[in-house]
Amino acid sequence: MARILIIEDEPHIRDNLVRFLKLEGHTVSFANDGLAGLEAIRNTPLELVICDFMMPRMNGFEVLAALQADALLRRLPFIMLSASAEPERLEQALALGARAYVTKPFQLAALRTLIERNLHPTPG
Amino acid sequence: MPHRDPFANDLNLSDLRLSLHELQLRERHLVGLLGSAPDSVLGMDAQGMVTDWNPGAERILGWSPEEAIGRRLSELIVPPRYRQAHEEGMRRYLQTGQSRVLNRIIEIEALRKDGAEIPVELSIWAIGADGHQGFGAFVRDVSERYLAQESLRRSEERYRSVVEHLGEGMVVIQDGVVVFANPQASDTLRVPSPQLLGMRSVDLLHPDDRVGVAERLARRQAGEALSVKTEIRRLDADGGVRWLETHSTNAAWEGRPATMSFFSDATERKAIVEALHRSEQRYRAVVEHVDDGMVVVQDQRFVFVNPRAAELAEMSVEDMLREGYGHRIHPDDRPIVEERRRRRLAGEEVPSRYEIRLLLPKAGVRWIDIGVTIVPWDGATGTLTFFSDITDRKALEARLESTLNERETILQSSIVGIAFLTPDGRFRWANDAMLQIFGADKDEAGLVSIESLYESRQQYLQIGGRVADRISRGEAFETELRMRRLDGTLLWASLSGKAVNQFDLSQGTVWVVMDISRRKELEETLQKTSSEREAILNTALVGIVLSVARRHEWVNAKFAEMVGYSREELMGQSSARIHPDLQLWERLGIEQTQALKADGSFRNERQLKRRNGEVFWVQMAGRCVRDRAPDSGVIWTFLDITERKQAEDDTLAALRRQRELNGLRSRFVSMTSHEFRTPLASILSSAELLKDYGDRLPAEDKAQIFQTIESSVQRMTGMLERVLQIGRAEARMLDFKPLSIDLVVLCRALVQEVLTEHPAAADRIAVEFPPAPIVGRFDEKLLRHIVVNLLSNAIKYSPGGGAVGLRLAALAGHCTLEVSDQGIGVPETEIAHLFESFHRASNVGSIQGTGLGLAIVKNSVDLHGGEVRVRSDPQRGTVFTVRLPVA
Repeated sequence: MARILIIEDEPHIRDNLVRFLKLEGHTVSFANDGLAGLEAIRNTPLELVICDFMMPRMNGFEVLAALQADALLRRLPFIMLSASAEPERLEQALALGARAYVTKPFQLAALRTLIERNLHPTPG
Repeated sequence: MPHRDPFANDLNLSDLRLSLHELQLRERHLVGLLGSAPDSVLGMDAQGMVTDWNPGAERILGWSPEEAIGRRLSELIVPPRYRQAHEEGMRRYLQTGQSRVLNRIIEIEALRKDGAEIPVELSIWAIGADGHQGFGAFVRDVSERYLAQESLRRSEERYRSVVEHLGEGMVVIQDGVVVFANPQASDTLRVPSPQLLGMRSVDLLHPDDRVGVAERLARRQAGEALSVKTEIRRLDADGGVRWLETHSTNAAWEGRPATMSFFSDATERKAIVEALHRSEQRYRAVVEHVDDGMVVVQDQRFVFVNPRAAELAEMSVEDMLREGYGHRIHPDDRPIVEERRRRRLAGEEVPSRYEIRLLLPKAGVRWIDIGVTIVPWDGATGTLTFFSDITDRKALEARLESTLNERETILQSSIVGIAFLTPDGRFRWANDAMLQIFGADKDEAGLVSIESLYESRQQYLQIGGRVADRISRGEAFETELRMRRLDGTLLWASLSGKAVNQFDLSQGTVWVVMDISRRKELEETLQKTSSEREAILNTALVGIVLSVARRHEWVNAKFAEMVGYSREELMGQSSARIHPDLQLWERLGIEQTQALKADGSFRNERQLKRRNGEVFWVQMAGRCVRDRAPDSGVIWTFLDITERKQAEDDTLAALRRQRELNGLRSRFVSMTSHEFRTPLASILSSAELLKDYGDRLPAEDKAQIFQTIESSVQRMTGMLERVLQIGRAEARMLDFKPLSIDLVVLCRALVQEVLTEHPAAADRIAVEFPPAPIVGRFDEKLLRHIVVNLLSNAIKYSPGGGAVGLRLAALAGHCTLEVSDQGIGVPETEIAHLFESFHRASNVGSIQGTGLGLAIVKNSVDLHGGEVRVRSDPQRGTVFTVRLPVA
């Protein structure tokens, strides 16, 4: 199983995600805002990051941009969660190197598929 | 006790005898002296009885010593009116030793024996020795001195009255300065008396006269006797010059030489003399230069000939005086001259004017008009003959004769009809054209009376009245009218007449008549045509105007209707009056003139003003009458586009509203995506967890998950509430049910409510409430929106902490509620939109919110009739101030 970091300021969603991923057998850690999240990414070995878009201190896009600027972290799978359904946001996130852009509200089953696909990419 | 002799012990007897002898000697001296003194010396005892009376007293007062001594003094010499005072004075002195009259010279009247009173000088002294009290008195007669003073006074009065009432001015000048001036001098010189005294006399004079006057004054001052009559000029303070006729002579003033001057204003006299002089010169000039010759004959001799007379006869004045001009009279005229002279000398009345010819020495004749009058000349009678050259007039007369003939021909052959009428309107003369116009035969007596040429008798009477009126006033009468030919057919004629002689109407009238039938016909056609065109233009549905230099030359009925004036009111008027303001009119004028010059046409939309002040939109288009020359006139058409403009405005307003709605919608969408999706995500994930992993979840987790669902639903419900609230507010459906409420109590409760929501902020909130309640009519629900939203915002938008303040204050007629924070603030440019629904400032970052709170606050405040203001500094925080009326 994998080490996954959740960056989310909304406590209810964050708690549910932690519960869900633990039940799925992952090793889960979390941060309450973008800046704390980036700190955690740099100090913890991780296989995947799930990050909210709108957060205090540093938003999801800024975290993503920081990762892309770091050669060691650039390839870390990054799934963006967002309350914004605007297509521009999706395009922007993918362009910045996010593996997926998930619009709230989302289904845990769908998220699970996305996580698995990014942890074990199918060759080709 | 006997009185002690002061000398008794010190003097011996011989000494005493000697002394006595000396005393007796001295007494005799004194008596002698007193006896021969001119003044009266008298003595009186304490009882008032006379004791001494010298010869002087007898002389002055009339009583002899024998009569006087032993009698009461007061009865002798004190006038009865002073007696009582005299007796009292004596008594007082005897009792008190004090006196008002003793040892002083008093001027008083004394009574003489003969009963007369005389002025005297009186001096009284007291004699007191060995208990014998007595008085001595000197009485001096001062009558003469009084008389002298009186006569001096009278003399002075006489002198003053003479000098002061002198008709002339009089001044005395000493050392060049005026030391005396009488009132007349002050008047004549126009200098007030006090000012005149002490003035340098030459300063009063014209500068040209000063040297001479100063020199003569100096000579008199040096003692030289010099009496001069002259005329000098006075220079007045205002610069005017007047002539003074003066007579100056030597005088003594206070014992020293001086000059005395008498003078009077001679300006007027000088002026009259000068006028006379000028008049004489003028007269001479007239006589010598007059255009008429003048000759005076006395006793058959020529005694005066002026140059013009000699000139007319082409002789010298001297020759004419010597020879006369009789030999120059034309032979044909001599008999009449001779005859007239004879008859005149015979005393017959003969015409005084006649015309004769003078033979000129070289060749030719000169016509002379002669007028003779009898004049006094050097005390005797003479005949004065005027000569006027009438050669030119004679020539003119000759020319007039021929001119008149020529004119007759011209009149006769003129193409306009010309006629002379008698005062009663009968033809005296008419030219061929006149006959032709009215179809009269030249040989027949066709034109008799003008009356028959009028269309009707009524017309004749009517026009005849007007003609008589104008002609009597010396004016010409002109008209166009329909007249009748002799054969009865009608024609249009232009008629113009006036008196032959304005001052003698009996000479009749002269008339010029033209047949204008053809012109009238053309005019009628033209009139008809233009009427038709005008009718067409007037029925047009657009306004049409011909304007020249921005004045309406012509406007059609539609245009007049558009602007609400009558056509007559508009025509000839500037177009400024139909424009809403003058500046705009001027600006448009420049603009359209430029365009018309460049393109020959102009088109725009503008507002015009109707007569009733109403402003409306027109579309107007103009085209120059002549190519690109606006000065030649411009034809304008006007279309009322008020309705179109209104429609445009409505559309624009609708578009604006649409844009606002679009903005609102996009803000709503953006808000829902952020604010609804988040709790939905919590709910959905909770549901999945419970469904798929329910059996593996610890009970505690399950409880938390249910709690998550509940609070998320509550959050969404809250948001829905707010959306509905704003919806109601915008639809003006918000309930306002004011009740009497104490704002202080309510605010305390609301702070507690907010703290329940935000327990962490407990130690940040600082409240400041007044001690007294603020009771007013407020809606509790709306106040809750106001206070809770403002306080929650203050906490929410200060993520870095800092104090949140709530301050209530009661003022006159209203109260204020102030909520302050030290949070992120509001960008200045966005403050204006802060209270719009769904609007959230750009700097909120990830702080959650619907953008509805402040909109609700605003609506709630508005419903209370209050106002809310915000001031913010992004560095320091924000202060919201709500002001509510307190009824």
